[in-house]
Amino acid sequence: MNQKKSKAWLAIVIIIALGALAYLVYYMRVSVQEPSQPIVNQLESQGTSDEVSVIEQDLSGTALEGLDSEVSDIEKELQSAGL
Amino acid sequence: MPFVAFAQGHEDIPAEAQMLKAQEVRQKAQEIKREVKAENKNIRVETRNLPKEEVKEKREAVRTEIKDKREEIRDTIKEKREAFKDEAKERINVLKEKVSEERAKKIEAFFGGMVRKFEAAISRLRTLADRIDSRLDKFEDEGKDVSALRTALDNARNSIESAEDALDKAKEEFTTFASTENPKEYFEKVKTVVHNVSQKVREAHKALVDVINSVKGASTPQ
Repeated sequence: MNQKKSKAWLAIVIIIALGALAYLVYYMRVSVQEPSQPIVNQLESQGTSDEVSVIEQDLSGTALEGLDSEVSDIEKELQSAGL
Repeated sequence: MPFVAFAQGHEDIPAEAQMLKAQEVRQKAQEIKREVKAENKNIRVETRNLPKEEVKEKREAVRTEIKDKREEIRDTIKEKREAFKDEAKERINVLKEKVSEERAKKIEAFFGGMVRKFEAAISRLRTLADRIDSRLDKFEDEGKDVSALRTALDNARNSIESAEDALDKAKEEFTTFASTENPKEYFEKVKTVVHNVSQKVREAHKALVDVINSVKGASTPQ
């Protein structure tokens, strides 16, 4: 009886541990997303309406700043490489 | 970590073959673009003297055809964009001969991230142009004369395509940069073409803003 109980507890512990591991892996994947991803996501989301005012809103909400910000990152890498 | 993730997982595809694929896709897209333009012009001439119902039917048929062709262009553009991604491993292999492998992966990831932002911006502008088109279709069905607005929208679409072409050029220059003898020096050229892409994207955006302002003016009751 006791052995059965301890097996059940072991199973519960394993399930919880696997759940925690899955959460950790998911969290890590989210946190290492590329820096450009939020801007891409923002650009990819827009309405579908063809009402003039809605299109106008989406046009004014189109943020085009910092699209080429990686240029300076690449320059830094080239500098650090001693080229 | 994200840099490594981006660089991994690509098949080892010879750069020359990929370059050829990108060129083929570009040619195909250009051909379809010319066809759509010609189709637009034809419908305006063909329907001039037809009865109302027939005009409506013809218009609907042409709209569907143009929509299909635009879809085709988008598929070819998608294919071309994928081809550039597939060349990543090849570029890293060449660049790592001048900088470390890790640095080569980082540089590729930075450029790749920037390209994705530009691609998302251009795609967004294309969708906005489609939505304006859809509004103009409705105006046209109501009997309004939208020819001037259509011309303005065509011009805006051309600006969007110029931005896509500029992005293609930037990708080509980046590929050359990876294999050049002096990457740091060549990067100045890459910087100039990337700056040009930014400018073209802004111009295309402004062109659409101008169109929507004109549409707004046309839809406001006098």
